[in-house]
Amino acid sequence: MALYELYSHPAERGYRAGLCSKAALFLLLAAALTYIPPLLVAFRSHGFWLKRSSYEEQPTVHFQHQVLLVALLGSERDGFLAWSTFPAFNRLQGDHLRVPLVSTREEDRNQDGKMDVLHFKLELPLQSTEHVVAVQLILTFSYQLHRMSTFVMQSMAFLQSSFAVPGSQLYVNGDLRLQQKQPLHYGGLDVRYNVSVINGTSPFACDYDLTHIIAAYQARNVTTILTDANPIWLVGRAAEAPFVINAVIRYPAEVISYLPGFWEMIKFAWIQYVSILLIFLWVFERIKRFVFQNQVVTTVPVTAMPQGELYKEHLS
Amino acid sequence: MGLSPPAPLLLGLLLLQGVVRPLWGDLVFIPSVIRMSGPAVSASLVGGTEDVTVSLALLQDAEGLLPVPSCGVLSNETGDWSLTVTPRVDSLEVTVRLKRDLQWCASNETDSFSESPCIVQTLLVSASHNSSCLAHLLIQVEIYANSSLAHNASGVKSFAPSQTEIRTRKRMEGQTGENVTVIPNQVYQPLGPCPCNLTAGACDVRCCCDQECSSTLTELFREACFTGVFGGDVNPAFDRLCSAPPAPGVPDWSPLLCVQSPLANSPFLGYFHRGSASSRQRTSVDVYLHTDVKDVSDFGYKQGDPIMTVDKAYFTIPQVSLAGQCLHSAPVAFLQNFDVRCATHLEVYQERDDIVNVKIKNGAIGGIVTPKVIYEEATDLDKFITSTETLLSNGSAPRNVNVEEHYLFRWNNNTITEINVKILRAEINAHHKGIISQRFTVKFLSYNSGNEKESSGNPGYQLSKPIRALNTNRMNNVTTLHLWQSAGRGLCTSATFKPILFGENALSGCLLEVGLHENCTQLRENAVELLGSLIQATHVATRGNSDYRDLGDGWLEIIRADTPDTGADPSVSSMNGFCPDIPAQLSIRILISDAGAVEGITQQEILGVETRFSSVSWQFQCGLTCEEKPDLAPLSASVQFIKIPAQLPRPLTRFQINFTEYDCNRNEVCWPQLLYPVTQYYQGEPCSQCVAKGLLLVSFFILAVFLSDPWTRMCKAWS
Repeated sequence: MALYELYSHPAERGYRAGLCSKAALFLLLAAALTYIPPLLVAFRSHGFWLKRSSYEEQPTVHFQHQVLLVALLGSERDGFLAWSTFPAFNRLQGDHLRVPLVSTREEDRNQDGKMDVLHFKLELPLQSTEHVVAVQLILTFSYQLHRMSTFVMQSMAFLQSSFAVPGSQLYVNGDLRLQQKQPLHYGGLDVRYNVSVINGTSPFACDYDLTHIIAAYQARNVTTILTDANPIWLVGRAAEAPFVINAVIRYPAEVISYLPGFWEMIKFAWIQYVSILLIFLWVFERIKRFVFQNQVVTTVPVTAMPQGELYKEHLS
Repeated sequence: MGLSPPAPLLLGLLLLQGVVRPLWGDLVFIPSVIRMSGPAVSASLVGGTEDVTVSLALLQDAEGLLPVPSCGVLSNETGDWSLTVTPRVDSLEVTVRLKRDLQWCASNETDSFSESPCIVQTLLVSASHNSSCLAHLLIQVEIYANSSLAHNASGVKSFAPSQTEIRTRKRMEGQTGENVTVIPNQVYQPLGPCPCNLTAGACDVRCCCDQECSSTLTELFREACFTGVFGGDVNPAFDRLCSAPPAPGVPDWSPLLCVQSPLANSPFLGYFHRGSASSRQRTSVDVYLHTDVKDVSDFGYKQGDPIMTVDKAYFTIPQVSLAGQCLHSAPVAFLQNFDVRCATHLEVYQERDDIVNVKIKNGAIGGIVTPKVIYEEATDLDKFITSTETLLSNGSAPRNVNVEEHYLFRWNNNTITEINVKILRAEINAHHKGIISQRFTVKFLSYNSGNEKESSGNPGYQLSKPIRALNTNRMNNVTTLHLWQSAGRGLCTSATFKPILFGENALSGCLLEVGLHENCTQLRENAVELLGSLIQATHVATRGNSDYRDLGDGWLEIIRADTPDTGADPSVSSMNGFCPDIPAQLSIRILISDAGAVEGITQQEILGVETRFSSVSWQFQCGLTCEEKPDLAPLSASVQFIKIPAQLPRPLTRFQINFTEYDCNRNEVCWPQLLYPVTQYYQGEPCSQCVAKGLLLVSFFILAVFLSDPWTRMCKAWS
């Protein structure tokens, strides 16, 4: 009857030497060569430390009901109409102030508690001699992110559009996209940009200069923009009909880049380090076995014994 | 003006009455004693209030003693006071109000900031039923003309405006260049030494550290000062301080764990400092078409405050806003200069109110400043009015339009001392059509500054300020170097000059008309003269504040390389339509460098200016046939600023260029970033947190090593 090896276990064998012997030195060297080179290999092959990461989140956006509108009139000389929700701004306009009818509606389509789209409609009353050829519109939003760091800012959507032919309606359908110049933090509260886009309490004209507003806004590291490459001008306005701005602004989910935290970096580094370390451990185990079995360094081989016997031998 | 000695006893009695009486349902005023410092007070009368008559009496304060209240002294003479009784549920609300305006207090005095109280009176409100006295309310009136409570219209509510005031003053001083003061960061320095000083320019009641309170005023509320940080004790002994006396209730071992720290290192530092401005969340739809004009000018203007007229309206000058439109009723801010141009169609041109009639508040209470206006007539109408249609009739009446308005405000501290207005008028036909271009400038100057030339920096040059230059040969008013600002077709004859600004590289040019038979010598002379008109100066200032009268005060001579030779060269110039060596390009090179720093701001200076002409050959451009139409020769000028490091850097060796192991800007896997999360390169977390987490990690490793196999074996071997 043939016999099969059904079970095996390695027999442990010890090698004894002094702590200041060559064997101890060799072991120390082997340990250093086992544990340090994997770190260097992992680091120098790029991507060891996770310096930037990203996640997806749908922001919590709310229209703040702040509007600033400038409409340029075509036929009339020096003609423009302006209106905003800021009383100080309206006081500046004098004859050019025209109060429109604004109706807005925010909609949560998937019932997840976050608004998905804003329907904005502005009807600017016009006399029959007035014709709108260009529109500049600023809407402000409160924009919040929660998943990683709690990021709160007041942002805006700037819409500028003009057409050679006087229009009756401007139709805009775009997304309010986040623009990051620098990554956000992985945690904590970030209210750097929780300041108003337009200083609505200032009585001075320069605070409502669009170049100043845009310059101050673009100096931020995190902004939102309204992406709609092609607003549609609809022509053919009836004599007494108002000029209508019809905007559908969506709040899409954004991929937000952030600086990973300490433990996240360590975790990804550890995965890479250990996977390379395993190879080194195997290789140096083989080398050490070869060195001790063949007595390359001088040691006294002993068979591993139970603890009690070890003590006995030592005592003798 | 304290209460006389018997008064506290009396007050106590009254208070006791007030507390005890309602228990058995009697009639009582709550509170029964009021100290009044504003224009109105109110109290409640509770108890059985049916058929109760409430009357007001003015007590004669004899010898500083309060009389014992009784109904016998009731008199109908209420003087300046009015009493209103409003029924409420189970009670009556009694309101005593001063009939006169509190402005009377201010105008009554010759100096507007009086220190003694304006009104000191004692009022007694009595509630009686069938001529039997049931309850009394004692009102002690002390109203000050300059009390902050009197100025409830000032609207100063935000924290510590006095600090803003300090800052503005300092800034004003900084502008005149007299005394530059650095404002320390409030996070590290207790800049607000008196947080209860809430009203600028007035004494705040109970704020004993308020510098605006005089000693007699402070005496009034010395015993009721605000305490703690709010009261001005900005560096109080804090908890756990070893030198602080042990507070009651601290454990016995607290002296062992106390903190040795100077008081200046207080945890209350920056207590009132708000790091960033955060506006309130507004979700509701607020649409106001009208706004109240806020007038804060009575205590003097601060930088950025709107300038007010006497009619409590803004002083307005047309300004550009929105998308380039001119807004006609735009207010003017204190110490904010501007220079705007507005283009208006004459059909819609509106005459502005006459500036002469405007009375402007000067910043002191009741102070008025009236602008002094000088009118000038514009000579060249075409410069200002672009006519689109020809005039049909000359018969209609002429009208005046203002084409330029220059406002010069003189300021002193936070008041306006003088306003000079220069208006350039043009007389046009009433039916004139076209576009009028108007210019409005506003400039604020210190009251003691003359009309000396504005400096370009102090001491170093500031970016975008004109280069200071000087011509020593001719004492004309050459003050800067120029470039052309070409206009229209771009001909040299129509080009105007634009100053060269520090730090801005520029390039401009113009066109010179040259005929086919032009003499080359003449052409060279023309070109040199035109280019030379840009650099009439001989010296350039090293610093932004070099003195024009003192040539030793940092003036550098302009190095003129290759002065062009305009001499005729007969052999070549005989050829028609071709001229070699025309000096057509002027390049100005200005060497600048950093010359140190003043208060942390780097100061830049000019080290040298070199002008160089380069020549081109000009050839008449003919088509098939050469016509007798003049051709155009372009001239150009350029300015280049070259920054020279204070110390020349050593040139890199090839090894240094290729060896990027330690240069993290040029190598993604540089060695300093080996342990990236615990280095300064990692910005995701504060460094201290990273170090703490790193140490935690290391301690885990050490623990693992101690418990691991080789170590235990070694321990066994030792034992």
